[in-house]
Amino acid sequence: MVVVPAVIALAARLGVAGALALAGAGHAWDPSGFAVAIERYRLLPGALVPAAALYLPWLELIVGMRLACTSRAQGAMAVAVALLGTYLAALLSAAARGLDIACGCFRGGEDAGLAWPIARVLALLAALAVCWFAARRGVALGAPPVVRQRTSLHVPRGIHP
Amino acid sequence: MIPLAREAACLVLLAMVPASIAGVWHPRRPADAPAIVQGEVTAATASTWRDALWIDVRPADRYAAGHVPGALRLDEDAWEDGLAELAAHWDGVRPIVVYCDGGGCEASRAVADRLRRELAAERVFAMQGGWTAWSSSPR
Repeated sequence: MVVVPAVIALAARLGVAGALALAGAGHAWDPSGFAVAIERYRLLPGALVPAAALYLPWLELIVGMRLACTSRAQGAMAVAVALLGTYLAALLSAAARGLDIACGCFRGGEDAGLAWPIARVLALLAALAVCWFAARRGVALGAPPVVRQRTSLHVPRGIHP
Repeated sequence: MIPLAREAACLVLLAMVPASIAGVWHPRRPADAPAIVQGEVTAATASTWRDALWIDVRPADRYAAGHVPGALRLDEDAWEDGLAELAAHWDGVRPIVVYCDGGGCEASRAVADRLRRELAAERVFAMQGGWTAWSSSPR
């Protein structure tokens, strides 16, 4: 069984939550810009790009907020893994095709180049793995481990037959 | 496992609510047209714009080897000179289409963004696929 120190688990969870919420808020602020960023990957049909640009920012934001609120949100962790896994596949695909594009991961100017965004997504996935093990063990700060006490049936004296 | 799936499904569905609202009310919602997203235009569409002002941001030798008829070359290293030449040809209304080599180059998008800012013009587009797409598209 993997044992994760509470402070590391907390830092990992808040790091992932912050990254997702920050990215989601930026993209939700400017869905048109995010649509341009998605289109540059040339993975989605054009008709789906606007829908993805409207939906994904809110999913990032909501999952980020859920992760920030509780250490036991394994459903949010699963969605975060799916999101980051999708982003990683898109980045690797773009790199394999030789596309010289900006990541589009966060709002604002980003230099072209995919090596750093790929490393960042891998780091976030590693942090999510830490969160996952911590949630299973219930060791994250703010979530004291559940202690099962052995109970025994108390039978008062004098009632024995 | 069931609480995990239930929570994940709730989050996925919950995100659809603000996304739907944004799709109707957001001032920066993306265009619905599948062939174009804001700030970019396909080569096929741009080639039908007879009044477009074309801006070539490729190196001088490639510009000399072939370019869109009437295209001005704009070098980011000589930005002020290029901008002055552009201003002499642009009436403030014509759409500006910026292109570079191919789909992978970022120069056209960067220059289009810069022109949009500095000229305060809305109809500045980076051409998807660049010179490669334009030279291979039927006209």
